[in-house]
Amino acid sequence: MKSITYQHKQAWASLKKKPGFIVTILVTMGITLGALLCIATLNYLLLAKPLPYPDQNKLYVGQHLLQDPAKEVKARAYTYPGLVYMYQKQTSFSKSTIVSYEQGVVTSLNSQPTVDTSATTPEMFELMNIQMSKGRGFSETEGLNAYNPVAVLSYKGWLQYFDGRQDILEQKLTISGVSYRIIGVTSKSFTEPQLLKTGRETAVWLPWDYNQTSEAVRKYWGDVSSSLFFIGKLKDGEQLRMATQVLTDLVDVRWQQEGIATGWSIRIDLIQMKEVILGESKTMALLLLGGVLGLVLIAIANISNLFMSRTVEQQGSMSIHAALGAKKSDLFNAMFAETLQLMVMSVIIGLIIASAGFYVLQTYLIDVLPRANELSVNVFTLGVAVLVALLLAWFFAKLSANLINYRQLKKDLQGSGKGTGVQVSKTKRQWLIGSQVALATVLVIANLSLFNKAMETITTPKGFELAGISQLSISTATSMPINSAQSRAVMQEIIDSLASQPQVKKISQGKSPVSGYDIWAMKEISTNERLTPLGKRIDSNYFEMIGQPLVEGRNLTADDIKGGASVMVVNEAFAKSFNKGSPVLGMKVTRGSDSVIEVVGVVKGINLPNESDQTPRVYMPERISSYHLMIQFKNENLVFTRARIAQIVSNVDSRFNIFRYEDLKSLHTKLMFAEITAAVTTSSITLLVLFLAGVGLYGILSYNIQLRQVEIATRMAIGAKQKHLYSLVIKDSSASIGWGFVGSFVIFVVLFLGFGDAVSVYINIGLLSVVPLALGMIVLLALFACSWPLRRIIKRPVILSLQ
Amino acid sequence: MSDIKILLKDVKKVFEMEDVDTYALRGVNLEIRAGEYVSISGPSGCGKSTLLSILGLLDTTSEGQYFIEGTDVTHLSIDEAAEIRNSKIGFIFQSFNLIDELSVFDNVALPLRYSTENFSADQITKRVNEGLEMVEMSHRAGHQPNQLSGGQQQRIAIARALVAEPAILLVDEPTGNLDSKSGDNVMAILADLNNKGTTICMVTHDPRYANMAKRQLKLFDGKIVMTEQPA
Ligand SMILES: Nc1ncnc2c1ncn2[C@@H]1O[C@H](COP(=O)(O)OP(=O)(O)OP(=O)(O)O)[C@@H](O)[C@H]1O
Ligand SMILES: [Mg+2]
Repeated sequence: MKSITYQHKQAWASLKKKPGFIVTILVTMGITLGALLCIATLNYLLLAKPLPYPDQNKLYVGQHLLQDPAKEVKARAYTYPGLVYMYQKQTSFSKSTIVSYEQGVVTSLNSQPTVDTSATTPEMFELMNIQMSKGRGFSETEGLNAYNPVAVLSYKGWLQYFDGRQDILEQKLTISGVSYRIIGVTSKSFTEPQLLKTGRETAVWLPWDYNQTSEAVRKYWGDVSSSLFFIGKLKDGEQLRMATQVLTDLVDVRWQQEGIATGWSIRIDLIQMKEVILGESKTMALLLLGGVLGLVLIAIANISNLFMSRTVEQQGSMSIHAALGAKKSDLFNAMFAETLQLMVMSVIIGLIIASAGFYVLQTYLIDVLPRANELSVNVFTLGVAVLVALLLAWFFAKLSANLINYRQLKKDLQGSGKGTGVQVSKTKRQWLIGSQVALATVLVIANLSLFNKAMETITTPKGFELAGISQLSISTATSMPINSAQSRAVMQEIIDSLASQPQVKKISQGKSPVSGYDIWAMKEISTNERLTPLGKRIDSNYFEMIGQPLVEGRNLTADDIKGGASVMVVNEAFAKSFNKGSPVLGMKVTRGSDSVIEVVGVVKGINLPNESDQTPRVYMPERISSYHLMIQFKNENLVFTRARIAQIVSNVDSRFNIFRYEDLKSLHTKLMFAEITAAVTTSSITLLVLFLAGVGLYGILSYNIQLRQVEIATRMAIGAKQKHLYSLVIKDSSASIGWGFVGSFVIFVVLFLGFGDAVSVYINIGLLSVVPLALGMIVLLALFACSWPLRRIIKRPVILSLQ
Repeated sequence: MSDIKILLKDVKKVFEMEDVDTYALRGVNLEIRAGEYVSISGPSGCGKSTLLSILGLLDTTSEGQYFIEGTDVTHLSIDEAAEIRNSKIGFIFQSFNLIDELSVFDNVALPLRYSTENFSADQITKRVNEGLEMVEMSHRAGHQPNQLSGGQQQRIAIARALVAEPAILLVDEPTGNLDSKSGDNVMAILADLNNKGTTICMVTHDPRYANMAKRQLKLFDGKIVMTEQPA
């Protein structure tokens, strides 16, 4: 009976002689286990771990749905008065809060940064149990209509914009001309619920009263905004369905009184806060987990092969041990000592890689992965790591031990000398090949199909040009309100000043084609039909600058803009979907109390990422006081820097500064961030899969060929040509490869039957288009893996292989 | 056609290894004519197997020239060498080298299947059956090689070596893995074959068997040192 320490010392001594073996295992298992631990932790966070708020399962986000007469949902966003009304009148929640997500320029700071601000009510601090590292949060003194100009900084905001200064509570900060007294800093550990957009972090919390909605819109029940949110904690014993009904009635009855649109109605949906925060990411996380598990299985198959070959190699020394009286269990324990050491090392490397993975996710995917900021190596990660290390070590040891024919092993030493005490059976080898192929095929097909989808979005023609165009948004840095006559004059001067620069080709007032769309509710006059296209304000240069062609009618003219004419240009999708039969030119609509708007032109559609090109869009004259400009440069490599623009703007009027300045290309790329990430991830996973599967298949197939070396050489002696030999080994492995393909098909069917709904986006007819490519890749890989080792035998003198 | 089946001109073979070069053959000149039965013997390590490998195109020469039936085969591509082995040379190995997965019949048929002559199935059956009859193994055609004794396996190997009607039969220690009775049986078959006209070149340790050959070569340190032509 050997002691455990002795066994481990022995194991290490024996392993040390095989550095190549150790490195291969540590690299393969380290990387794949690292990915596994990283993605498993992410899944735990997204699927199992509760949100860090009290009674988190009772927290609901109320959504405000605008339905047409056919009860079809036309918009999922609040009207300003509707939100405030619901907040004030609701009885279903024990506590509720409302929030408006915005941005502002902090003009009191020298750097004049644009920061994320959130205007909210005091209940936010209780509902989210926001702890303070300094000062206090909002209380009754900051309630609705209290108009108390105070601000709370987030911990990060305090560090980033105020260098973490200790006397922060004495300080003031100015946004849009209002000076706020800083009353608190939230604690470092507080994570806000990211409802508007994953990755958006509030830097400054302001009282609700100071949200940026204009006085007119605050009273208008016809416009909706998607940056307004309602959060409530459901009362004990309150039924979700009851609450939904009560709230719907409450808001709809009030809305109907306004008579915005006959036949239309409002519905309130209550959605668990967790669902809102996580959104679609759960499926994505599960999918990633599936992918990583596939990778781990491939790696396990590879490493199984290595361990088996090592056992075969060790049969000499094992027969000596057996002859000296080692029992079967002793041989197993010796192997377990080796596999355990290797797996513990692999898992440690895995943990390091997982930590690096967390860092990568937090740095690059903070805008895509909800709760990414909560990722870290935790008890769950460590638990999985220990479990995985033990399981794998046991599995590999068992697998190797099962190869040993103990009786034969003893005979081996006594002479017949054939060394058949340890052998990897043909069936086992075929299983290894088949499972490698099945897993690799599933992973490659799935990844290629995701890659395809992402690339489709990335490569869809935009329908407009953006090279050399930058978007500039200007804001004011003064507490003195600037009236619109003044803004108009200053903006005109800024436009003229920019346009006079020799590098500048053209200026267009308004937001760029990649942003600045709102849902506009309108009604066609002749039919009373309600329309909710995306609306945007533009000037007469817009279409020409971005190269969006006019199909019919006319463009907006400079006079339209100057006079604020009631005309609009629509896109083809609008013309198709809303005007049945009669010509769209001349069609007349109204928006709320506005005057009659006439359609004067039709333009071709544009494609924005993640939006159908069938999205109806309408374009109306931009207000000439608008602070948004597009600047087209003559040479796309000679665009102005932010500093240069700032200088031009402040030369015109020092009260004006830059809110945002960015080129359209990068704005557009940002819109496709998720797709670009998907394309990069899936293509690298595909390569990794092909690499791992290639290594694995090569290992097992070259072992196969090694076993057949004498047979192959005999065939060569008899006169087999190269083609005979290649077709021989290919035929031999093609059965296993074929079964692997069948296996992959079975896996897809099982996935589809088991998780149909969740995976239907990913497993569908679209897969078929990548199947030939994927199968082709795997077949090539397998062909390479079996012909390369054969090549070695063919190239050298036959006699060497015959011996 | 000349009746010189094999002609080696000053063939040398050097095994180049990291630290030493081994001179396995140091200039061998050899001529084997149609119908000859040549044995090669000599002490261990003298180069017998090396010589036989070169004769069988299983290895290449370092220097010198090699002709089979007048054709220079010194420098051939992989597939050219395969074709010559298939059509001109029959091998009999010490360890039989039958292919376990194939039946006795298919083992014997293999050279015909690799042949460029495109034998029909009928031709193959006819030839294989003739071969098996010649070594008295017809009744075992459907068996797997591992169901047979060593002597039987070697007889199958002989049938396989002859099925494509080679110019010469190369034999390396054919009785090394056999008991003396089976060994004698195999040697009797070879002698019989030679009597019927088959050209044979055989490597053997056993002086008794070497004496059965009509011409005996002695190899020493990579050179042919003696040729005995029994009366
Ligand atoms: N592949 C090789 N690499 C290096 N040296 C070799 C190789 N094959 C043979 N030799 C050397 O060439 C010489 C001749 O070997 P060969 O096998 O031809 O001898 P042999 O006469 O057949 O001996 P035996 O009777 O023991 O079979 C020996 O010194 C041997 O060590
Ligand atoms: Mg030899």
